[in-house]
Amino acid sequence: MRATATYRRARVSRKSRFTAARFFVALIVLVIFLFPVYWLFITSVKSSSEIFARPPVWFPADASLGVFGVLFKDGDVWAIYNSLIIATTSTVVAMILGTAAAYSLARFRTGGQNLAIWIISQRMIPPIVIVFPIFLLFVWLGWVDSYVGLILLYIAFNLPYVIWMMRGYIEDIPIEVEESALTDGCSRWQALRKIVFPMARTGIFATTVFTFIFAWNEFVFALILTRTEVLTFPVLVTHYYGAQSTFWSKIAALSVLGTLPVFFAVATLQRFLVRGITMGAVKG
Amino acid sequence: MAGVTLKAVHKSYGKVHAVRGVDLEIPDRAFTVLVGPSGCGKSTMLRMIAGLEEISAGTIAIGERVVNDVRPKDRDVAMVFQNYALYPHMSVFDNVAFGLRMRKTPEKEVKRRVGEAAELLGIGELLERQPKQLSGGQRQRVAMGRALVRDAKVYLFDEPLSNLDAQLRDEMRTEIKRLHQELKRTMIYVTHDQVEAMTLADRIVLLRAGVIEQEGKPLELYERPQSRFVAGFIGSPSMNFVPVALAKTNDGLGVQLPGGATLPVPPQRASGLGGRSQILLGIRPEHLHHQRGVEVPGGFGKLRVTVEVVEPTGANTLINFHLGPNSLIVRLDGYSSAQPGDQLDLLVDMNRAVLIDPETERVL
Repeated sequence: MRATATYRRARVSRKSRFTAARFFVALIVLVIFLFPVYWLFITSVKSSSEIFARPPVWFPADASLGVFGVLFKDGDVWAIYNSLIIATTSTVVAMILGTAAAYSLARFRTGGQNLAIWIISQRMIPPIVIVFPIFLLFVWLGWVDSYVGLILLYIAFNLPYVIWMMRGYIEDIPIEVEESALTDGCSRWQALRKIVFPMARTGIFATTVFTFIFAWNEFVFALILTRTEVLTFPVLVTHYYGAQSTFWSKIAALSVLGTLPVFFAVATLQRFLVRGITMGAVKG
Repeated sequence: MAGVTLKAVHKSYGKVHAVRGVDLEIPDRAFTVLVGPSGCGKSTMLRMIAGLEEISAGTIAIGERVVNDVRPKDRDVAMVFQNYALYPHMSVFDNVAFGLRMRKTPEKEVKRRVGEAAELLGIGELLERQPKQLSGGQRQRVAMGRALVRDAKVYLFDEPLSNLDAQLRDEMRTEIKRLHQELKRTMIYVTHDQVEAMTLADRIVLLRAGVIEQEGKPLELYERPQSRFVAGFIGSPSMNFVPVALAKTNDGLGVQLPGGATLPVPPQRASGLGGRSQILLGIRPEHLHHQRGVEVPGGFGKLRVTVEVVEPTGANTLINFHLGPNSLIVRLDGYSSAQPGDQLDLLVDMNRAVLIDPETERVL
């Protein structure tokens, strides 16, 4: 009996030691990943002298949100607004067109075996290779420094990704489930709305988030194709970095503001980003 | 309720001709089973009736109405799929109610009918659950409920039992038969399992390579197959086939087996053999009997064989032996004490043997 109890105690203590070690490793990883975010925020509320102080100031003595006020007063936050308009519109349109195209590829074998590969190959072009021809085209069309120019470009650039991802998610849905809906009295559209989209919900949200993040972070196209009217936030950040002086606190503050929409988007949609919704549809 | 009529129906996928000019009359309220080996076109035919596959040529009518260009939702058919195809984001109740709601049935009526169907299938306790919380057998029942709750003209079943384990499959087979007896609806059932076909069907349609090989009542196909293929497909274990030479005997015509034994051809069957010298003899394992006395009844032939393998199944004993290069099997009733190497005297029921033209493979 005593031997068993000792054994059990040894096992319990080994288990708790393992849990503690795991927790400790997780903590270190968390600190490594969150430190840049912390440093970004802390820089935005530091005074100029604290930003360059050596040794570094880990906790600013008189933190101030003043630079955020300046960004609002000077109208620099419009860049966030521009980014929101461009990223949201291009994401919504790319998702609608891309999902429709993906459904067609997945269910009707549109374009045979190779069309899907060809489509995703478009995404492999390095942006810098095509940005100048596009610039010349946009000059001719009068689209430089306009919403429509960037929105269309981001749609075009994101469509292959959306089509590729959504095709995979739709192919994962057993076709019999859809056929069952058709014999149960659904039209093709009703089957999409009532069966396919709810079942592909996880994929739709995941693809939406990544498409949005791409458009939100995109820099090369935005830098070349905008001037003053529709500056996006990554481009404006570079404006604070000058030959004479660099506004570190503004860079940090605008970056904090620019991180928030993505943070909220992911935080809100996170619960949908968990797989498992198709479980139980067909034989287990 | 309605019958289904197929006239000269073809289906091609590119160069593959899956269904080749099928004419078929499926009677109203009958249980019709489409059976055949993989790739014979049986599932394609079912899917064409449902409207899930377009037909390449011919016409399909449900009742009086030709439905070639009618969408699945307007054909008024209900279908049970092989992998159940439940809607995973809906509860069992919503799954079963889906078809009724799509047809704008009042919610009170939906509740009543789902309740009835659930009771019929014994899934009343499961209505609030999600499909992923159900076992395979329960999912199967829900899939059946989803079809049977509707008041459809035709009910289609696409190998609904093939994903269940053997015991559950037997139970569900009986259940489906009981449901058809109670509900008396037009049901078309696809399977590759001839036992399912024999036990369930009012009428069997046996397909091979996209054409109907034979159709009729189950026992008609069993007793009077029209070709070697039908004779071999229906029945378990399969019919034994032995190439034999026709020979004149003192009592009339006989067939000479590899190994030397001669069996009599019943006089009434001899006339159909023409001037042939070789035929294929088909004998079902259950039409070979252990000879216990010395007497050989009329229409029977006598055969001595050497036992090779003995397979007791409980109710029967299967015994394998060779006649020349041909491996044969006999099913004896009950327990047999025969051992490998033993000599066994068998009586061959020549009245029930099948005589086949070896060239055309048609039954003579």
